[in-house]
Amino acid sequence: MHLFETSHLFPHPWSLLTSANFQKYPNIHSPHVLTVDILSRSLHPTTGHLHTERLISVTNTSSGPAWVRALLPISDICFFHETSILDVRNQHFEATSTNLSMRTFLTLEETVKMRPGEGGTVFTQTAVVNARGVLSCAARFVEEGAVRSFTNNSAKGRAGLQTVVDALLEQMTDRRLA
Amino acid sequence: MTSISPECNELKKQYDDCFNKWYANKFLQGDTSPACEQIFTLYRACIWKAIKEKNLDQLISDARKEKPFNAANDTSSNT
Repeated sequence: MHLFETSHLFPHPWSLLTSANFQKYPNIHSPHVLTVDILSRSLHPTTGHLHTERLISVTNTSSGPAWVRALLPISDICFFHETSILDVRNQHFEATSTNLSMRTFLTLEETVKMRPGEGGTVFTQTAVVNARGVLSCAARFVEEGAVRSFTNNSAKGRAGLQTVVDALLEQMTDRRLA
Repeated sequence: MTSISPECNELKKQYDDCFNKWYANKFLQGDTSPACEQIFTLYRACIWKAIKEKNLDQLISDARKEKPFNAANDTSSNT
């Protein structure tokens, strides 16, 4: 098992970050994300929290050494399932996504949280990687590779979110000037 | 952002536009009255058809069982 964690402060209010998050794709930093669909969305009857379930597909551009790709049925497109809970009263957002594809070989679970912090919104990202089955003999190797990918991609992910925040701010400015 | 099924792109765009406006202008201001339900119904029907055709429905069902989306997991108000 391998764990990856990162935390970043966005100098913007939580309301703007969460709005941007729902509109995150497409963005120039995330060309690997192919499709995003909402499977379900509802307001919890007692808590009033917004529950969202999404299906996301990404291109599989890296994924380890040639021998791994040769042995395993790695397809070009991977699917992820994301569930999120948004508590507007307490300003807490949490989303967890996990791979639907290739689960017999590898499980990736990523959790993103957003809450207000001093000077903006704290964005934390945690990923847990587990190699399974036939890959378990090369578990450490595969897991370290996945963590390296996460490290590279998390910076792109934050940059992607920032570009959407900037676009929303620009729209708001245009509306005020109009 | 495109949908898993190109046929659903237009419905998805209409739903996303509706939801994003509702989220920013209503929900964040405390107005939780439902909106976008009609377009969401049409959009969902479209994508679930594609999901079944691509045999993703079983994978999604398994994922839902592994991590049920229910009150037990919805504890963020306690943190």
